[in-house]
Amino acid sequence: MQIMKKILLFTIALFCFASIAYTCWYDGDEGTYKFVKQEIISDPTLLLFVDYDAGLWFGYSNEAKEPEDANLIAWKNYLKAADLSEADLAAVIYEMPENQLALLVSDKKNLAAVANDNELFKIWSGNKRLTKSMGNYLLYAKSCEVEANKNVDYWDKTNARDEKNLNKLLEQGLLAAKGEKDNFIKRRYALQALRMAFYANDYKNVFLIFDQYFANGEKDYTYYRALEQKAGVLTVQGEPEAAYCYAAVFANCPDRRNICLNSFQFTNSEDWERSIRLCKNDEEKTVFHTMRALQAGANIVEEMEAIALLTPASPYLELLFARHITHIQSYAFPAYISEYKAYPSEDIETYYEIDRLKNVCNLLRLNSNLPNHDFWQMAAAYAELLNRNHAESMKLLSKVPQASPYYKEAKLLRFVAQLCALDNIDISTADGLWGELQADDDLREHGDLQSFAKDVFAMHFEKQQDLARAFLVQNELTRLQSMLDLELLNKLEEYIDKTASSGPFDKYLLSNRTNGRAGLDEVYQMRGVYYLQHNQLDKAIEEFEKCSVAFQKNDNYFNSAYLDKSIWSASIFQPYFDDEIEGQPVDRLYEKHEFLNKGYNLLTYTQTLKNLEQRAKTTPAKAAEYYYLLGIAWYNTSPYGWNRPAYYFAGDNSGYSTWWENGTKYERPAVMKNFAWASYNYYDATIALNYFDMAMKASNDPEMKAKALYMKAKVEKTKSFPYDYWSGPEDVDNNDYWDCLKQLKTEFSNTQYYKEILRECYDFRAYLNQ
Amino acid sequence: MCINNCKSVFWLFFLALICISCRQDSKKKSPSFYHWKSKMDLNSATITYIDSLDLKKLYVRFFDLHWDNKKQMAYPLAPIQWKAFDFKQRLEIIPTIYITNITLQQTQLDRGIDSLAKKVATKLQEMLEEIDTVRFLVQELQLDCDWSESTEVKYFKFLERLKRELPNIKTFSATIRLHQVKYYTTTGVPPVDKGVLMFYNMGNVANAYEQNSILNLKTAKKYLKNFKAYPLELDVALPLFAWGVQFRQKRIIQLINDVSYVDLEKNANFTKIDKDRFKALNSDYLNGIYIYKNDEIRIESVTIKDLKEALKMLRQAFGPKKKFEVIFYHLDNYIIENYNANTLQDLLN
Repeated sequence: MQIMKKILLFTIALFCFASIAYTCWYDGDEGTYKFVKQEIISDPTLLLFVDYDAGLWFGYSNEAKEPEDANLIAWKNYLKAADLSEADLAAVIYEMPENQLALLVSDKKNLAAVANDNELFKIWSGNKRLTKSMGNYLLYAKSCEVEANKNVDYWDKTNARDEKNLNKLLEQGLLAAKGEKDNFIKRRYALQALRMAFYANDYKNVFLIFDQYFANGEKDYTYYRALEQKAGVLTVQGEPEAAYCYAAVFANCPDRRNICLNSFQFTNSEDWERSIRLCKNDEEKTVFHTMRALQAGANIVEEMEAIALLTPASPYLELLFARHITHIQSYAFPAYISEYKAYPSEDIETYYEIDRLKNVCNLLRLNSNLPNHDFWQMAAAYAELLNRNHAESMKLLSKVPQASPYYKEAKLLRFVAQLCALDNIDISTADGLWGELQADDDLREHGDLQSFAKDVFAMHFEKQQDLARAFLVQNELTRLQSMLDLELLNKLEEYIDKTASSGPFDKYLLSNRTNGRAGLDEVYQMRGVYYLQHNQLDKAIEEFEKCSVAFQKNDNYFNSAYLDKSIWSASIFQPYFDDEIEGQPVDRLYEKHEFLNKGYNLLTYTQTLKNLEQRAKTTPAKAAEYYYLLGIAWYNTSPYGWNRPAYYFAGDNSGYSTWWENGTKYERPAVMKNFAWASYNYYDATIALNYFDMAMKASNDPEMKAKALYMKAKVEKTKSFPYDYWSGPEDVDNNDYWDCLKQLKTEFSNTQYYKEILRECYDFRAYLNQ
Repeated sequence: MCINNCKSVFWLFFLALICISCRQDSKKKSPSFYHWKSKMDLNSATITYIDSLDLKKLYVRFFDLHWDNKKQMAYPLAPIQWKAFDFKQRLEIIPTIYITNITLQQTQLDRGIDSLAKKVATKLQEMLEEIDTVRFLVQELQLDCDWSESTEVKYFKFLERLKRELPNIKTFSATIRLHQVKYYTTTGVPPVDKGVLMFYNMGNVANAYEQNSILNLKTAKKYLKNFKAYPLELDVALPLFAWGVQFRQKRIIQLINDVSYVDLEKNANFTKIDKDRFKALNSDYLNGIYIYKNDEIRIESVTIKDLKEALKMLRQAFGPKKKFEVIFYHLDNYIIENYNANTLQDLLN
């Protein structure tokens, strides 16, 4: 029991640690309702940067959003082979070992033998010149790659770059570039040579090669890769032109943006000014502002304002809006809430400067020259929504035409705006919104919207004290089993009993949450268990009797397998909670009382408790034994005892253990949705203690007194364990427990039972040896 | 004879005085320091400063163990570049390795952890070979990791394996966070010879109204539990650093290292708005970070008074008999400029 409890508590504790405030303060992406998807931006190559985590010195990677491999595309275009797969190209360019490739390039028989394995080889087989030219280049490039990749093996310091080899490769490359007639291959050689010069710290040659082969040529992929290397040298030399070069690569090479962004750094405003002055047009300046906007700590809205004035049609503006909204959504619409607040929260306005965002979006929306007008219509509406101008937001959204690619987002946002605009909710409004939510495919299939709507409904219903609807919109009725709440049970009874399921909302609740009127049986049972837990047996019996005959016969809880005769058994040692008590050497007390020797359901068990109480009162000769049996039953069904889950001890954890509230005070979760996590199981150790006291008082038999006293000691010892996650038997400092042991020693040492205790109970022996 | 006797008595008395004062000096506790940079390049002012503190131990960050997402492998980030320096006495160097949780999360439990321990041991030995063992003594290794539920098993296993790989290291120590002491039965206790309690970064740095997240004694008080019961010997790391916390509209943006109160007081682009808070008058770069107009920076640092109070709390938590080493985080010019060596020594004595 203790081990199980500690495992459970360990999990709880670690769950709690996860919320230690100072461990992490950056935007979390989890637990947030998202209404606008990141893919709304029109340039898919920018998708990586929507939630790019800037400033991570260990890099950022998101393969799903990585742009296409521009190097392979460049080769594909060069080969003019539309059907050539990138996988085939990658197999030769990136994966094939140099020696294998050499065999194919040098011997056409070898090449013919594998022509069917790879489309590129098929092309080569029919073009000897291409095989030589491209093949020889790839062989050279693979040698360069070996040298370039040195120093990257962090663990092997012997793997340093070889300057001599770098220079040799540099010379080879330059020579080959000079002799090569094919311009594409020529520039490839030059690029590799430039890289070798860079790694050899031969910066003079980097500039020379760049000027000779790239500065005046086509601005293709090779050009920008060479420019990136040149930017590296300029960075080392502290030249502001470096940033300008990185910006050019960022703008033109989607698969190098990530790298360039990390190198785009300034230490002061003068350097920024010197760099941006190199820009030849507003498009180039826009890239500067975009790159700054993507860095850690950027004020995205301020950079958007600058770009909106420079190039209002820039796709970077869409990116920055989507990026900003992605951040805002995590604060404006949190999915895990601990208290109800209006959506979106007021903080959002100030934190994210929504007013300024709204102004930028409106500026762009009102610019009729922009091709992406609908985007900004939707964006401005979202900004209005975040600014809590719900009516304006809905007005703007209604103008997004059905044919627009943003129509679906507009529809979702309009529904969100409707929900946010609610001050309260009456049943006809609820019916209207719920009907719309379920009737439209886009709305119905949007999981976040469904959950968000339930949050909003629950918030308003709870505020209006309509607890039944607030609870049911978030929970199955049976969720209450793990947290019996009398007020809520009464409201639920009234709701199920009296509500006509005419509208779509109530229809949903009654058919999906309560199983129609059948839910009343569950309510009676839960209320019965509530009274049983409080030892209010008459009330409990009354509730259980209200359950329909079919329910009494068929319900698993009502007929729990744990409600059997072993509840009346006792043992000196603590039985293992996960073993059957009857399988252990225990005192089978029911054997002496024929009326106890049977199985029970909730009703008959409660009636038997009542019966025992009455017998104890009416037959003084056997009163002690009956009180003792009652005490045993409470001990066996309690978490401080055998923990037998005879009734709602737990709806989880296989019914063996449970998550005990730290304290006896019941508190309903502040948010109805959190019933899903709540588990409060009332128990009262004084019930068993009183019965053992009464058994002692009613008996003149020292053996019976010793038995009752020992059981009392066991309750005293363990009664606080379920409340205290951190305690175990070693922490028992309950004086009442020690007093019981003392009394056993001083008053009952002559009993037979005392000798049994001595034989069976390690704790008691340890106590005597103190 | 009498005069001679008097002279002898005088000299004996004088010698005794010297001996007593020497003994008192030798009893003086000196602090240790963390050196948390990627270059060991101490300037003469720093060397003089730590000489005057009679420094005996320097905990040196050797590298961070991080995860390369692209290569899908752990790697030693920014291994320290060592430049030899001279102290007046032999100094004990304690190599310290910071391990990120992501590294452990991504490393496979058995073979992955075994191989990582081997790599780290080899790397460390290579780095130690570059250290002059006449000047520096190395007998302890410290691991710094804020392990979590998901990494506890791997981290502890890693420590076990590393111990096996480095038989020449006499002592293995690990950093321990405050909550890991209070809840040690659930967070676990690392399998090392001793721990160093990181007694800083305890407030809520993200809260715009937090006074000082580096050393928030009110928060610390809540965690001063189980110190006597904690199964490891604990030393204590105390903060001696400052940083700026950048806020925009009361929302944290980021931390700015190497910026002090004086830096901002002297910077014409900032105006003081509160005791330790400054506002940017114009958008401009500060230490390579672009600060936008109206952004606020809260300067957080630690006073000697706070440190005294922290030590008092710790002594109470540990009990009067417990002796612990104090390690200051971390050695740099800021300390030299802001904390007098004698004051630091007085703090510990």
